[in-house]
Amino acid sequence: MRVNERNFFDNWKEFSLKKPDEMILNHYDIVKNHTDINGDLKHKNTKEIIKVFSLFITHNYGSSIYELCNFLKYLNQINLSIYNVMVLNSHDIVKKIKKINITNNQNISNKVTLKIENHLFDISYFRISTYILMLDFIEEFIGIKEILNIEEKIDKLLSYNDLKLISNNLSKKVYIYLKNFLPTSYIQRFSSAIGNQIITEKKDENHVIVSEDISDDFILNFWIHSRFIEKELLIKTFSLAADLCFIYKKSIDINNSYNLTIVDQINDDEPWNFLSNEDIDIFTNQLMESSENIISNSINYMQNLHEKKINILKKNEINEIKIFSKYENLSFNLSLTILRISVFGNIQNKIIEAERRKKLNLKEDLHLLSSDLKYIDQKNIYEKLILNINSLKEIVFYKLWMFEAKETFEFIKDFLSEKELEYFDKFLIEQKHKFNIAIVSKKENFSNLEKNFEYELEKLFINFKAFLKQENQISKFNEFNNYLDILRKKTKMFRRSGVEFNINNSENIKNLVKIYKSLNEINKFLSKLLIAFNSNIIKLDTQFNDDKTIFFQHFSYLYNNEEL
Amino acid sequence: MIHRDKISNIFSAINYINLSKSFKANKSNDKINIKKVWDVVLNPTKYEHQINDLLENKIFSKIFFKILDNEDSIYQPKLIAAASDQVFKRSSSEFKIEIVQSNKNKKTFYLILTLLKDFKLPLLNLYVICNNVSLCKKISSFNNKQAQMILKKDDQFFNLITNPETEIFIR
Repeated sequence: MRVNERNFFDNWKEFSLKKPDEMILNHYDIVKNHTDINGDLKHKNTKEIIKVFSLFITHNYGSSIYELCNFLKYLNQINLSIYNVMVLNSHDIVKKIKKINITNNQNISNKVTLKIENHLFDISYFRISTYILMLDFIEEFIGIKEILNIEEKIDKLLSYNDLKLISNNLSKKVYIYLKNFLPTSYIQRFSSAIGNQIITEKKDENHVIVSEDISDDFILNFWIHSRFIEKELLIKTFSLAADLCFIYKKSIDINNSYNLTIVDQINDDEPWNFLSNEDIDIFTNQLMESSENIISNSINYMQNLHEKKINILKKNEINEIKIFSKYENLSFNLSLTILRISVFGNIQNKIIEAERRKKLNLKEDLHLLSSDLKYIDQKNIYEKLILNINSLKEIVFYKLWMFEAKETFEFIKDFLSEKELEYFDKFLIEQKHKFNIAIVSKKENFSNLEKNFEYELEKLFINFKAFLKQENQISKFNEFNNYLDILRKKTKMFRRSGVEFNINNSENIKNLVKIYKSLNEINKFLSKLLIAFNSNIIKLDTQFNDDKTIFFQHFSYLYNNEEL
Repeated sequence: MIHRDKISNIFSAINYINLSKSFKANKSNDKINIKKVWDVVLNPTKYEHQINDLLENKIFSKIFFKILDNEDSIYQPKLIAAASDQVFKRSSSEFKIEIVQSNKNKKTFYLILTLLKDFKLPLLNLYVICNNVSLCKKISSFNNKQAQMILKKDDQFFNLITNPETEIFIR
């Protein structure tokens, strides 16, 4: 049996960037752990902390700092000092503001408004958590002294122009602090290395980097050439080199979507015009989206079920597809890299394991390993998995069919032949017609109809089951009826640990529906990937043999110190 | 900023986001921040041995006194033109302090603190600060707006509270 140890190796240093002794991450961790005056965690929403942190490290804080300065001026106007606010959580700050406004007989709404001369600025309560996070990061970056300076300046400001000036100066101070150490950071050196490699390959100093520059061949070359950059940046595993390149590709795409003009943003008199709040939100969401993708959700769901001992997919099957949680849709564009990670990554795992056990005999090991791991085998694994998932979908569908769950209607079309689909659509139209007549005759209002809809759907499903048994329909749905018969037998024979769902209740129906949808997503993904293999790789065997020479030479360099 | 730098910033951001999920700072935060000043204000006894060093930091002392000054604490400034090097009675519109020698032991003094107004917040600590030297004593509970504590003549606290140059806060 083929064993994929990808999980086991995940935490080994060859497979990840070294633990960065990075000041910036220290700042992040300190702000994340800030407590309020009562000792409770001040910023409870990790996603929000990451969002604000992202704004700083991408230098997109101009507009947010401007907002913050408006907020600080408002606090100043109601006599709430910065040092008071900085030990409160956002909830307590809102309470204080509301209390002050009630005392001053002002209307309470979901926002307050700052007024300076003719300038009006609305401050929504929900933004306050972001402002205090920004304030904490600014204190971390440029120090407590600057916070005092800001407070003094905010206190003295008389005009809207003064406020803009304070905001711009503050942005510049943050920029000066961050720009001095970010480019020297360990991570940015990898980014420079990728950028330099692209320019070298293009042989054009002025080449404007585009997403297509990160190709399958580029990633392989980058891995091999990483040994020439500097010792500290030698990337041992191909999968790590691919990870870095995938992230670089994603960065190019995000940058193109937003066309961020950072220096202009810092130097401009009105930096808040560069990115709206909505843009910032979409931008930061894109930076974080890797864990919120449909395919990764589906794979994670399968993994969660497995951890609960419900083995819809087996452990080795989950291991085969886990790679896609990480790379998502980029897998289609760089399908050869996916194959290389799966096949040669696996070989490298085995080399590393043998090296750790001091049992490495590279030449012999490579000879043995190369014979049983090939691109064509990997492709077969995905094809087999698609068939297996289809079979699992059938079992799940049959269970839902037997439970007469209305959700079955969502999936029934997957199991009908072309002709049967036509009859099914006809049935639906007829039912809809009857339903509409009923609505008109009852003269019910819309909300009542909405309430009845769920019930109607269930009735419709039972009608369909009865409809199938009608004498004149049996022949029309012959294939489907036979298919149901096969499914009945298959379900009876089906044994898999933890997969029961034999009782007809809402909990089981909910789980089965979710399982069906997840399996469907995984299959759609794998089918699309196979199409990508066919169109991107001319001949799998030839490609494997070519790659084998390159990979094995580099493995010899890495593990036997043999020069190429 | 050139195109490559912008990509590089986003590249760093994504990597930092990924790394931050499992990152733990190596060092504890020894930098002075506003939370720390508050902590010292609210828990002076916890920082008994550090407070004077901290007050030597101008920024720290500025915020420290600002907080004490503004945040519902009660205060007596330095005495102007005191007649002697040591004062045993001080009074303001908010509270008065009287230091009385014990009849039995000449080295023991009693400090009698009397509040002259009602205060909403509980008053827990008595701070004495002179030339960036600060000491604090916990106030035992008030009875009829009056609290007492024992002072030793050799204690630095005794020297400070009787010094006319000393500022006094109660919080």
